[in-house]
Amino acid sequence: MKQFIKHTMYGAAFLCAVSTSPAWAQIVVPIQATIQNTVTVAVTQDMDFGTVVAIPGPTPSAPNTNTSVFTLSTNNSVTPTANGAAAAAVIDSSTAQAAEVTITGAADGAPLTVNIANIIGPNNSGEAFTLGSFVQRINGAASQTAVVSDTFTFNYDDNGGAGSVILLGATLNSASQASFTQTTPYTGSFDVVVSY
Amino acid sequence: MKHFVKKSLFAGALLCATALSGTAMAQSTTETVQVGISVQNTVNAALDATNNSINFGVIALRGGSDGLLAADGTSAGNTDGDMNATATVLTDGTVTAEGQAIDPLDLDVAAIGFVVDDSSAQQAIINITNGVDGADLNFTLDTFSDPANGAFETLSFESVITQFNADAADAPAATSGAPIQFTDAYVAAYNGGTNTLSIGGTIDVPEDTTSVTEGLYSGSLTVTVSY
Repeated sequence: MKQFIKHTMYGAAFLCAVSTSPAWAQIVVPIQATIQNTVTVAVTQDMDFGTVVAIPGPTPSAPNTNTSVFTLSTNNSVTPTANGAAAAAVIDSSTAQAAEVTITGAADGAPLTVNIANIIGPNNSGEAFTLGSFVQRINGAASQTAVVSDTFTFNYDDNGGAGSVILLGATLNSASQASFTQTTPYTGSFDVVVSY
Repeated sequence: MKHFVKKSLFAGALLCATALSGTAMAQSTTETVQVGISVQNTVNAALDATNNSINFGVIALRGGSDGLLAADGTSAGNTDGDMNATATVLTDGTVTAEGQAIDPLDLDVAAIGFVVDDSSAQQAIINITNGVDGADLNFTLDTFSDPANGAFETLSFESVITQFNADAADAPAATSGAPIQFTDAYVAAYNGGTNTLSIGGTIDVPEDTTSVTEGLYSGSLTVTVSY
């Protein structure tokens, strides 16, 4: 190592000596590199569960006692589940849709990590659903996959510049909410964080 | 010499690479997805466009009164029972009317009840749609308003008869006292999802109302449907 460093210092001194010699041609070769460590993420479709009947039973509690549960798949279907004495039904699924996130600008074939964060269940005037149990389907895969611990990885496919498309479904649970009385939509959100 | 230069360049490159890797940081991109859901916990229930009232059609109805003698002719008093007259619309729209039979020896005034024209007679129907299959629907009937014709309010809306879907009709329930409440489960497969509550009832002209103003009598009741 000492020898290596010594050679390095000699080398620098030698280059310096060469540069001061008028007999040598000095050529500067440009070196360029553009670093792009971030990818472009666009939400191309928000998540919507449509219109439902959600009537928790007496003394509801998370996750499955007298609770109304709605599961949105990546193919836009909503499945109601009534636990215990609760009622749950889908009245209008015409607006139901999985979230769609399009990722572009990554290195083709590179593994990307997607993290779902800052999850806020749909709420309205203090009444709220819990949001969780995400599922994902990437680039038209045949089936969806459960998202464990709100994180998953996949190999980016640039698709000729179109990027990779991730569909996200999820589950809403009335949890310990005793009743839902609001006639205006319940809204929530979550962040999709993508990184190498 | 070449070896020396090669090593020097390699060292420079290594230092450069070290410097680059030292400044590289994990970067991520974040976008927020909105999530929405609409909750509609009210039942879709509405009065049928055609069967939008309980209609008794055209009827002849008048209360009777006791005569001066008993049936055996020996003493005064009522021995024929209530001298009222009633008309009933069943949950299928059939209308009937009847008065109290009398014994002519009593010198009673007969209560009369006849159907003059049943062409407009009908039961009321409430249509319930978009319910939750199997979920209980709670019905409450209250705020009964006797049919009246101006200031003349002799008719009494005495009882209601209800029938849910194709179930057997419920027994008549008196409109006096507490609200009438019952529960039936919504059946998604019935009638294309349109469940029905058919409502008939009975009106009554009490005894001694021997004069009833002719004309249209109008009353109402309130039906509340909820989960």
